[in-house]
Amino acid sequence: MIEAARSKVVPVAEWEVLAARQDVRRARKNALLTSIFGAVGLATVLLVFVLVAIIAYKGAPTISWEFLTQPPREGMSAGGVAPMILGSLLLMLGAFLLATPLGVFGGICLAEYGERSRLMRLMHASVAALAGTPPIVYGLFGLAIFVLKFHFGVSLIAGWCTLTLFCVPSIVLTTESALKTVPAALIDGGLALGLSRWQTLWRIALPYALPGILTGIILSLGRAVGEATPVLFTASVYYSTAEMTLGWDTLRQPVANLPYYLAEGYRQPGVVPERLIWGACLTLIILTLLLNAGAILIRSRMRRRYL
Amino acid sequence: MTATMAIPTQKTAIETVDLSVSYNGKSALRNVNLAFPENAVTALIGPSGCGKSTLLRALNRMNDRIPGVDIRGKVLLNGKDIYARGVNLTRLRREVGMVFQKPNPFPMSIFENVALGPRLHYGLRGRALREVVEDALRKAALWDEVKDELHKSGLALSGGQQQRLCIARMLAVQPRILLMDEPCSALDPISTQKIEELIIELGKQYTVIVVTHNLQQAARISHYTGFLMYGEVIEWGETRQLFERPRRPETEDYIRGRFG
Amino acid sequence: MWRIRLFDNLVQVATWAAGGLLLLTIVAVFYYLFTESKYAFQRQFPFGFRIALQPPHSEYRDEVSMDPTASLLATHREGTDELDDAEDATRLPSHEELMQMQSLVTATAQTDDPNQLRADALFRDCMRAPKRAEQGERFLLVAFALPNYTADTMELAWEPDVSFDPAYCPYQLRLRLVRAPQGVQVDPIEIDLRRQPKGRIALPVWKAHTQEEWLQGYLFELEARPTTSTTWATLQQFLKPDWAPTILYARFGMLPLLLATLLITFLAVGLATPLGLAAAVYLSEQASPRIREWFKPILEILAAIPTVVLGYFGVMLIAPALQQLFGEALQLSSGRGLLATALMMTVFILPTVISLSEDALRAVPNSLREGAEALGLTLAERVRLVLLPAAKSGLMAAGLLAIARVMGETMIVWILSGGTPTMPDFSSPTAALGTLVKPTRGIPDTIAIEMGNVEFESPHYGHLFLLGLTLFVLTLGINLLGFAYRKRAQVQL
Repeated sequence: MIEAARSKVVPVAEWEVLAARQDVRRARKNALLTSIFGAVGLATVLLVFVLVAIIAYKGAPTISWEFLTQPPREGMSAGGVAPMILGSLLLMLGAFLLATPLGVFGGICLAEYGERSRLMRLMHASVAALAGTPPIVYGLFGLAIFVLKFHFGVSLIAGWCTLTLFCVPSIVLTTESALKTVPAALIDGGLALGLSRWQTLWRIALPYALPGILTGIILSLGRAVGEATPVLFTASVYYSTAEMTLGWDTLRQPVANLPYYLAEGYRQPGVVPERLIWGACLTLIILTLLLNAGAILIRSRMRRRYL
Repeated sequence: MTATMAIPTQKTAIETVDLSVSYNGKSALRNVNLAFPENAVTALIGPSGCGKSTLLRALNRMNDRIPGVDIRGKVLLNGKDIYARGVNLTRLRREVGMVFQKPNPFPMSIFENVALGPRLHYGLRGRALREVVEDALRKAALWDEVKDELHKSGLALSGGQQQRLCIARMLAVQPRILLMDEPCSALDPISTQKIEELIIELGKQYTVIVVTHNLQQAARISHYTGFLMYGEVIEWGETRQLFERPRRPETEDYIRGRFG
Repeated sequence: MWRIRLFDNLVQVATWAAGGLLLLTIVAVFYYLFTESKYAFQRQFPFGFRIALQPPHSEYRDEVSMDPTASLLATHREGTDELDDAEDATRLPSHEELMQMQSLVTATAQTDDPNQLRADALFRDCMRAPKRAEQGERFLLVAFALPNYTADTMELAWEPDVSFDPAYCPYQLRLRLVRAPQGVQVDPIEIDLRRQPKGRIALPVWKAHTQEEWLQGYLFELEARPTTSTTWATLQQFLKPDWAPTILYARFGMLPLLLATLLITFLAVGLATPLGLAAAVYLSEQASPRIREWFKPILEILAAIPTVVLGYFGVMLIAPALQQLFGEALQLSSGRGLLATALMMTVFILPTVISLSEDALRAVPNSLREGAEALGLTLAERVRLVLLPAAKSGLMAAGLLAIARVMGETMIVWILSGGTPTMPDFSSPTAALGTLVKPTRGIPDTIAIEMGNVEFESPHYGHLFLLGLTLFVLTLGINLLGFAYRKRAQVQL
């Protein structure tokens, strides 16, 4: 039987006396901690503003049409960064074209077969591990394989291959998680209509997951644009005075790119004036932010259209 | 429509005065005037969406943080409006405890689950703390089952045991009013029965207010019942009277099962 | 109709192809990192000593320099190919061996300037031949005085060659007297050159009056005996505290690099975690939905700043500040060092920590929050006692992922601390401060810096890959651990 013995209801007043002191202490502690949390949040926001403001302040004076469209002059100490911008864009384009199909279909593969067999689980873990691998390891690998063993030399092609390798794991993971968010009801609906598994995937699941997939691709490319390490010894050249010509042989030649420009600019202090460096910093950030903003835009527009 | 006020022979533990609650413009409760009797079990029944949970939560201000909520009127505890400015929420929830539909023990040991409240609220330590924990577990009819395994995780218990753990956790804080939001709906029949018996027993010393969608349960465990529909109190009175001789046609329809 | 069928089959094939390629890539990455490292194990283990014969009271007492009136001849003996003890210790050299002896000292000494007669590093020869750790080397030395030697004793003096450190040599190095000249009484001499890399020993003077007599002088043998295989030797040396791959007696000890990287990681994550967690708590528990909407993009902006740019920030703003603070006290040329690197790394990793922590907190079911609130807990208490413990696995995963990312980040380390590899020193507060503020080098930036100047498939190249492999394995382990914790978090909640 229910034993409610030994239970006297103690007069409320007694307990309240005990509690009163605690209440004050707890309220104080709470106020302190919550303000600290809020302060840190605020500080983070401030940090971002300060950083961006400084870059903008230091870099904006340099940004001009000339800066963006002219190559460097006088041994890299004047002029613009057009070849670097072009190089970065080329690298990104190639990486995009190569990494997207591999990454998206790889992600589909993981989402469909992911937990079926030990091999697949191993692959899932490996892809996760590769996604977290330092970019310099990719640079090393790219050097050994694409530049040297495959004899591509330090070239655009080698850079494409290395960047592709760098981007693919994260695209695979974001694709997979985007596909996982597709409601089972939707998939069931498709199957119930008589569609095959692959038809359901292609026509129902993929369009639903598309915003997430695209976001993942763009964010991954954004990282690729800003990382110097994968292209450091696989595709980069520093001194570039001539206007870039786009022909078949550009594939076999190294390209200038923004992060490498910044990295080397540091190594050779005094050659490149500080204002050019900050201008390049600002350009790189704007490029990355444009990509991110593009991702957000696509995400919201597609959400509206499909949902 | 204002319902009848307190039963004259009973002291009132907590009462609402023209309480109205709406979310983002949609009204959930309208002009509720209820006085819940002390040391008795009151059931709140009604069809889905009638506002009974909202009413329950209004009694310990758990609605406060729902976005878009608008609360008007008063809720008087010890004669003081709990929605007044500067009311100490910590103290309020000390006096008015709550258990939820789905048992939600914290991811820690059984002992820690129950000890958390008294340790924080009253600064209890050591022996005093252990006594309060044991007392609470006994009151919740769980002591005998777990007394040798207090270090085990609260999540390792069965559903019914978890709910009793949540009740013990609530009791350890020494409340006077116990709010229970459909406490048995996630449990199997045997656990439900145990908890119903527990509620009846607790009703002897605490003011218990139970929201339930199970009419038979309400009839079994409560002294008083309030029937709500569309955010208004349709009828309110002693359980036996409400079930056997309902005064309002809507009440009768609901009780006879003519709608859910 | 068939077109649809074909298309969908194509999709299926494409998926399988991608999966296969992915698998291939994973295998290839592991494989090639591994195999390119093999060049590290083709390294040599050169050693070099300077040995000279000189009178005891030479003017330049502490220098090892050859006296022009004494002479040393040397020749290669056969190498020791076997890693075992058995050898004829007392075998005297054959006539042919003695005939091959070459004069060590280009003693066309027209001047008495001791500097001109500094003993040549004795065993430079051995460096030209690939010297595996399993092969040893033996040299024969004959020491005698020329007729015009005036002092009454001779000293055989030796010291390690410039930049040679016997501790980095996998051989047992022994200098042994094989035979004293006839009629000369001398105690047996056997010197362990690793215990006593620098020293001198007195010998009774023995003069050789004719060229035929030369080979009757003191006969010494210097032996480099292998103690371990090349593979083991390479690995052992990899763990030593000096990284100097470009000097003559190359040292590939990655310990200072590893410690620097670990220190930076420890500092950066130690700083970013409480800050990031606090901001995450604010975001998930306190901030209104409107604030949250604004916060996320701002965080994304922070995350989008390329690390090169962060490096520049550090070098333009943080380093000078540190320089101002500590420059005088520690005589710094710039503020670049571990501390500056760790600070910018904190900025780098902060958005990741915040967003992952917030995800982990969000994953805690609301029922727990409600239960805690109904119990009368304040927000701080709810966070501390209920939410954080409930989110533990997710937070651990976040922390581990952050650690892995910081460890591998190259540009910030390169720009902000690219100095010479230095072992951390915490023996005193000043030394500790110095460690934090003086330039040093970590693993990823060493790879980046040196890869540009390295020769394809040389041992240095191989060692850079070994470094890359080490980094890869470390981050792999941490990532997998984080992956496991994330799985655990999903199961729990």
